[in-house]
Amino acid sequence: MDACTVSEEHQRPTDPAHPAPEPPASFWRQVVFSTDHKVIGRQFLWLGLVFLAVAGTLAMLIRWQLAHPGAPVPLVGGLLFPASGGVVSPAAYTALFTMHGTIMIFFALTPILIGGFGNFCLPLLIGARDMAFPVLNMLSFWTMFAATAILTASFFTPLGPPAAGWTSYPTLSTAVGAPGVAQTLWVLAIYLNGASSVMGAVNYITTVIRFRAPGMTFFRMPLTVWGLWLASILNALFVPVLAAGAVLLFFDRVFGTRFFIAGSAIKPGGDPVLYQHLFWIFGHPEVYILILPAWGIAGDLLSFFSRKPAYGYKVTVGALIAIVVLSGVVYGHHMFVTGMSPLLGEGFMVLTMLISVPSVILGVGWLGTVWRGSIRLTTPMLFALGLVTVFGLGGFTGLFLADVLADVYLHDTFFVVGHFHLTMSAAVLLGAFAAIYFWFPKMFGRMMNEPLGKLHFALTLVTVIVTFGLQLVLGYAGMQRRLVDPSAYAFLRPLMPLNRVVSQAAFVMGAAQVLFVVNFFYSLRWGPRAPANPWQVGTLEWTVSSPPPHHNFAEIPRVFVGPHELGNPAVKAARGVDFQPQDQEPPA
Amino acid sequence: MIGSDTIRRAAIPPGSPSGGGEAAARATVTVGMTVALAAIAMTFAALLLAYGIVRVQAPTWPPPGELPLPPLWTLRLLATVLAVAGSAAMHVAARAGRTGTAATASAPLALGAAMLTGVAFLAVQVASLRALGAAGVHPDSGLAASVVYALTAFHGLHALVAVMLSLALLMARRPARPGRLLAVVAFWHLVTAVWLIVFGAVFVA
Amino acid sequence: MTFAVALALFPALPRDASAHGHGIDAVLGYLTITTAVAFSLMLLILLAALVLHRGRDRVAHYTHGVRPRDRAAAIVAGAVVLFGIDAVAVVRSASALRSGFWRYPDGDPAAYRVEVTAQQWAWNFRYPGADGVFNTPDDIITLNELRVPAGRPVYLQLTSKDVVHSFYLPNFRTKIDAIPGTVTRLWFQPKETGTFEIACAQHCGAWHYKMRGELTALTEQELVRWQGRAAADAALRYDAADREAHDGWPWMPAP
Repeated sequence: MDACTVSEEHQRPTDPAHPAPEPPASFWRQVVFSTDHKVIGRQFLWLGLVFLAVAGTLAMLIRWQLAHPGAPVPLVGGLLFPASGGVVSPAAYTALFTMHGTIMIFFALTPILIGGFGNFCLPLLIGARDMAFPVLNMLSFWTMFAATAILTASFFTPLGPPAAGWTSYPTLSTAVGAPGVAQTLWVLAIYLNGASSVMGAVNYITTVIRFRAPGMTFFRMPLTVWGLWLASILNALFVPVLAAGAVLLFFDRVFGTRFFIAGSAIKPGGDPVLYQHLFWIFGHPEVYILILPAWGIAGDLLSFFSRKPAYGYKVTVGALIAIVVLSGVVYGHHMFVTGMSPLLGEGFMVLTMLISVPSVILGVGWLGTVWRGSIRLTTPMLFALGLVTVFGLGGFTGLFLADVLADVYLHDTFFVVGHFHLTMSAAVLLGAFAAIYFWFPKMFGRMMNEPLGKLHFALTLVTVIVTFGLQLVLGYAGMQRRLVDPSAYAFLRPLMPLNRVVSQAAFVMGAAQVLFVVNFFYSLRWGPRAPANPWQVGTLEWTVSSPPPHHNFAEIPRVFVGPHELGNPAVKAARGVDFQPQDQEPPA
Repeated sequence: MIGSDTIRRAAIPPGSPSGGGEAAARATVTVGMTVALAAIAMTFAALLLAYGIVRVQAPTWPPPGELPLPPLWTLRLLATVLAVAGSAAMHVAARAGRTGTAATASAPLALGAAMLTGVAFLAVQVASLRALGAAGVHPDSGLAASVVYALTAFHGLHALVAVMLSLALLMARRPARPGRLLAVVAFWHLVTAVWLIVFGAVFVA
Repeated sequence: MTFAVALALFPALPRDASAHGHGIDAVLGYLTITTAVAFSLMLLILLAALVLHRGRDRVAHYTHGVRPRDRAAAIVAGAVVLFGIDAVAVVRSASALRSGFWRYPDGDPAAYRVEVTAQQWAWNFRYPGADGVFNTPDDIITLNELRVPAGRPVYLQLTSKDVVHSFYLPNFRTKIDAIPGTVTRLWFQPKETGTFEIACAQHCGAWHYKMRGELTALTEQELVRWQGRAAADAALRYDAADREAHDGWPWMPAP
């Protein structure tokens, strides 16, 4: 099948001479190497959920050690850490936080939100039959799969798993600090993961530009599409910078080049901080890559479940674009204590602080959307509200870290950990749950259980705020990151009870996810069948069956209105319902 | 009340491929290739930025304590000539492809010629690295050596991919679809352009 | 709720032993209070909406939020954060940084100089000894013990033998990375005597958590007494043949 022209033909309105192609027959082409964006989206979702569970389990082990340093891990300790009698050894601990961070960012959140929902939803939301390059899409999944295989292999190497932190700073990550093949495998896995992301970005960017249905102007796209599209632009531009850093690190490790090996009296060398530049030029846009889809989804869901349009849609889009632009020029705030010149420090401080302005505008948009609405507290809505709340808390703490003076004290403490877990993980994670509960009917043709979903939400939100909010307090009190046993320091011993509270909240958070797992699998099999439009909203994916047919749309729709035409009295009078589907002419 | 301008604006947005056809397919491939090339270019830009940073930070170049690198002008100039020749051949192939859906006789010839120059380029690059090794300059000899080895090798990998893509086009049973041919040509030109920049920034400067 | 958290945070800061700590703590406090207020306001509006505007029986107020007053809301909110929080914090911090963290005592003859070499997993401190020059036979070298005078600027230059470490003084609200192949600098001024902890704040391997040192701020008399004992000890230990132990460097001038 030709990668390009299949989609072109698909986009023609149906006529007898060119009927929409039938799905492929063989198991391999239909299930394994499918080029159907819906199948690929589900593949990414499964991969991401599995690794989310793995990274979450690693987090539980980290929290155990911080709450009870030196105590053997109950039940699984003997299995996982046989050499140290079930206790998390210092070397094991460094591997735990390394792999927790690596997997969460690259192998859980990216595949779920961008690979999973991006793939499944994007063509449907813009009225297309598939992505611009279906074969490339399939390759991007299998590249991600290859990356996960390599990362999994790195767990089982003779000298132990990668342990230089998810940031992998040299010289700890070079042969100096990390002999052994695991770190090299880590670099390869990251490189392949990046390649998969860039392939996806090429597809998403092209698809939005070229395959919007007639009438779907940029300002009629759902905010979800904006979030995914802008994230893809950042992906295309900045993941390659990480790739460059990874390439140089790989060369240092394997071929003995000296980019990041410090010079000495006997052998000239390079600069370890060079890596930090390359890493954070990627790393800061990366956090926006992760949250942009979540922001988009939140904007749409808040409108849908308040039954009124998104407040200030164009201003919101402007704010998202402003953040995208700014995200490229603020990376130095991760490096304030590397001996940066005051001029650079002040520059990065001011630029970073500026991001608070479009962020506040996003918040005004969200609040304005729910205000005076007719709010329905469905599970997706609850998660969207939770996302907004948690991001608000996390976002404000970013101001502390943007400020050089405060950051000199707070850098590399648990304040940073609390900040990024609140913003990035909790908000993105809550966003992922919102997306799953919202699009589950469309993806799998069944409804998830509402009461169980609401309970899952309540437990997750409370434990997220307690766990990561208290980490802000721990950091404020000066506790550094990545400590196997904080009680080694006298000034941290009084904080051990607080560490235990954080761990207890984290354990409850972990346990609460069982509710989600049960709900997910039960509903897959026995959930009530989903109608085409269970949430009664107007975006294009809800105009087709649940799940959609192979070719998505029998006829490419024509779009007449924006995605948030809810609560319009004229519509209510003419159609009897309070929403206007995008593909139908509005009342005069 | 929804304004009439909403209905007025329900025209087909520019670039929509709902008309189908060759031109639309080509436009889609053009957009995709532009993004892909931008991404690949960013990798090389980052590598060159890294080179720029270490070079600016070093008091001398090569840095103190490192032996100067043999310039290997013959090999480097030969590589540059081959790269430019390859791009020229690909340009001919692209022109042939653009004139119609069926490839004319000159397209496979031009592709073949480009491929050969590409292979020759790779051979020259390998030879230049071996010459460095013979002169006692290895990847771990220092920062300047690291830059030369890393950039040569990483660029060479992309040149290899370009050669393989051309081979795939040549070996395809059907004549190359214009979109695909143009995509490979664009990638080839990027590889050449990167070499010219590397040549200027690393070997001449 | 957030106010309680903010108030509770203040006692959580470690004891401030630095002459400049009050400036830093003031900025931390300002950010805490302003962001707590802003977040509480946001939460209040959100909860009010959920309480007041919930339910199927309500008719949603149809608006796209594009009227002038809607735009004004966004502008006002942005301006309040930009000028009320960001600008104030930036101005106060820049001023504190320029008169503190960034104002290295390069020309100050009273500055007490020490060279720090970090390694996996300990801190080596080199004092210049009586001749005031580093890497000479009279240098005093200690492991994990930094002895400084209270009431005078303490000026450190740092490097690392292996991986990146970070020299962190919680009681002085300051830290700086120690990077192999580079010399970084840090200065602070203890305002009281006492013993304080030195921590490593950059992941440097499995035993990163054990990389603890002790900073003792002494009176001038106590310092002189200690230096006398330590110099005698150093003279006994000095081994001209041990090239690796002579890892000091000529004090770097200001860049």
